Amino acid sequence: MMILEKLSYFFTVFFFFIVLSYYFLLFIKKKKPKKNKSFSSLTVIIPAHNEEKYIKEAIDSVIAADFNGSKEIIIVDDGSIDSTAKLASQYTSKNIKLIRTKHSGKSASINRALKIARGELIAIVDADSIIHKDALAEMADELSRDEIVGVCGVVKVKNRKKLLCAWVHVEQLFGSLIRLLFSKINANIVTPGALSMYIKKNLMEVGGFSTKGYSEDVDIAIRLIRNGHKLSFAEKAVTETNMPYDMKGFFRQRKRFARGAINIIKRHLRLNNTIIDMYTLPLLLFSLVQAVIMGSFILYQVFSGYHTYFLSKGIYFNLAAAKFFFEWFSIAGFVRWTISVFAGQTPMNFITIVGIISTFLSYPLIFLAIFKYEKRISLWHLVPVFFMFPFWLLLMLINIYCIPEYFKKEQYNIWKKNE
Amino acid sequence: MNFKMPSGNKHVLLIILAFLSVKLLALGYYHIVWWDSAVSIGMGKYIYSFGNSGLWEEPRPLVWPLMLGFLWKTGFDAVLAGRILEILFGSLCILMTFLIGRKLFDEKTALLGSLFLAVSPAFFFFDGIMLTEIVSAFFALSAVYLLMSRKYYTAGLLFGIAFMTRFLQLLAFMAVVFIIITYDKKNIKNIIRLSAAFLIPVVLYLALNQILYHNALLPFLQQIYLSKNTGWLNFQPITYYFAELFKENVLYLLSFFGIFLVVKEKNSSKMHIAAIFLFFFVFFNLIKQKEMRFLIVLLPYMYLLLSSSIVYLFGKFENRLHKALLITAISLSLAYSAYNINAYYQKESGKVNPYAEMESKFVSSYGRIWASNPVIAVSGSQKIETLMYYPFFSTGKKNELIEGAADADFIFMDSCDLACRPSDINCENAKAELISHFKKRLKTIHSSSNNNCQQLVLQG
Repeated sequence: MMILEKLSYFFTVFFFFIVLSYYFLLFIKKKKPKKNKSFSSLTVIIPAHNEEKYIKEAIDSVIAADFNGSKEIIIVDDGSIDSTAKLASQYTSKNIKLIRTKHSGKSASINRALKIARGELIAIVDADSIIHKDALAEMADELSRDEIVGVCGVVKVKNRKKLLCAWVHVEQLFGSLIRLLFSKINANIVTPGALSMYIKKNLMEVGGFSTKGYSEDVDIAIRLIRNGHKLSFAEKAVTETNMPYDMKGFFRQRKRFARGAINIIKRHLRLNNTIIDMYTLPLLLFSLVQAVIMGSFILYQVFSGYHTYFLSKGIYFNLAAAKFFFEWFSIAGFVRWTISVFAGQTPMNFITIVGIISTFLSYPLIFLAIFKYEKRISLWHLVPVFFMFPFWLLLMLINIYCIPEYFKKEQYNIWKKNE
Repeated sequence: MNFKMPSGNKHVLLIILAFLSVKLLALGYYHIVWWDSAVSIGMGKYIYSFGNSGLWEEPRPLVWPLMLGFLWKTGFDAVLAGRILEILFGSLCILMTFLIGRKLFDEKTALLGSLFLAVSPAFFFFDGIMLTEIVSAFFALSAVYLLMSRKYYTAGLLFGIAFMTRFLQLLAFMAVVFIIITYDKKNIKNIIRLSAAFLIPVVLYLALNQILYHNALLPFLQQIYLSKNTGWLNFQPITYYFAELFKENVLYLLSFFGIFLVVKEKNSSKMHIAAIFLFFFVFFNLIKQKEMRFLIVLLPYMYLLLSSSIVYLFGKFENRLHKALLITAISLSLAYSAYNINAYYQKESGKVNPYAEMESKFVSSYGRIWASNPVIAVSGSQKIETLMYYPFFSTGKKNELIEGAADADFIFMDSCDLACRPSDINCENAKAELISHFKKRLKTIHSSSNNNCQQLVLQG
């Protein structure tokens, strides 16, 4: 058996077990800890760097959000070169502070705010996001449970009507569902920057946010769990975030995510018997390795097919080529292949069956996420689901592009935006 | 490796992207696998099958066969994946040219150099043919870049790998050492670091040779022997490269002005570029066998020197007309290069694989296989026991083949593969005798002719 065949067997079986584990988590019922704590003060930190387009609505949403107690807002302008600081300064009052720093990164900005924060609870809200009215109250309620020190919520894409963002929106909904499932066994290692809340005391115990590497929202979650704490998921706490809608911004964001994931793997992957070491972090590693290996292989397969059927015959594009790409880049190709397997036109073996089952099992999870958090399905959901493959392929390629990050000694938390 | 990606200059990424796209879309023009590429694939198969598939030629360097063999072992189509891999290496060569140019000269020089390289006909066409020049050029360029960053160990190691990809890259290493000795006399430590790392892959290779052939230097000695006895088909006059380089870039002579500027400036880092270019240029002009593809290894350096002289001249010109003339000359040179790329492709696309039928027979062959051509072995996983063409055909070789023919289960032969040296007057007769002997003693299962070449598949 060729190495590639062995690898695709391995990835197929592994993927099957991953999907199975999602279903296992979906169906297990875990009793949540009792609510024995209460908090009377909250500080919402809004780190911002060149967010003039969104900062106002972000602040407005935080002001409008309910919280049963005193609410303080600290906006940190992290060296913006646009009018972010000017816009934020219009809100300053007794309970709304504005700190201006030179560009030093998101973690450093949050840490700076943490030093002066008075709240027992700390919420982090991205400056390009808005939070729903009940989001803070829902999260604070979740933090009142025993052992819970951090909580995250549902992330939606606000500008989801922009073409590229439709895909990102479905991805975010699916990500929210996965975080919910993982939090059942305290295996969720992402408290998204768009909206998360922590008990300040516990946050300070672990030294605040790390200024090393991207993905500080993953880093903090891992350190809190390693410190013996639990993180929860507030299903009714919703934030809507503005995502990059052009390819340039998208690439920049995803490169940051990919580099962040590599940073996290480098810093946190270890042999241990905790659930995040046995499940979540290996899963993250798997997704990166799979992206590099399978991403390259799939791309080769697409090109190889195109070369064999068209290029080698001197055809660059025709109807058949359009059909070829349509089938590759949509679920239609997979459905056609499945039919051909069951019709006996394609050899059926253990791996093809496992592949078919795991792929078919993964789609209901995507639809469940859409139903759960959107309550309806529209064309804006169906189109990305139908054409999810090119999006995944793009993410895989970005992961490949970011491989050099693994060899870099230094890790940074300074991000560029709208510059 | 901690090099800064050219995020500040998106133009080079555009050049690479355009290069990559056009190269991939033009892959359909390659209808045949070249002889040397087939040898590399065959050797790769041999390595990864522990001698049960493919073929073996002692004097070849191992890095490229190792890569192609890995693709084959992994399950890829070695030809298509090999072409794509080489195209990726070609793209990286453009990137490295840019990075070196930016480090040593300036962004304009770097960009112009990488653009010249990307549209240089020989570089463009041979990227995807699966020969060793481009892959070795990438390793050498990486080594040069790291040398500029004063990372002597890694640079030395990469020079070693470049050498193990194409032995002639030793010249690049020698040029670099020469410059360090000449201009950086005090720093003997750097030469030791560079050489020590260079020797790591080389010593491993020598040790392997000692184990395999009981002679650590056998591949090198065979290379020298082969270069004396073969290659006469491509013997060219001393003026060959001087003339042919105009097809690569009509402005190329300005690269000599670039050398003059570098020498005048006495910048040891830039001297490396000039020295590598000169070492290669002089060497290739001195040897009789001349092929444009050989010069691929020097093109990146030549284009950097050429670009630096153009940028210098552009800066010196105060008259707008002169500047406009220079820009026109650059544009025309690029257009002429593009025209010559087209000529290469037209020539290649007209080729038809003469071995198609033999290849299909080869796939179902078994036992002890003899072949007069490595290309027929590209698609199968059989092993070629005897390479009839190797090292070259002669009366002596004929006797040797006749003697051992009884052991062969299959013989794949194309009479044109057994090329006779002009000095060997008995060779043609020997070839006829050999074919006649084979036909009498073995069963002919395929016979055809193509361009006055007789193709035979014989079964023992």
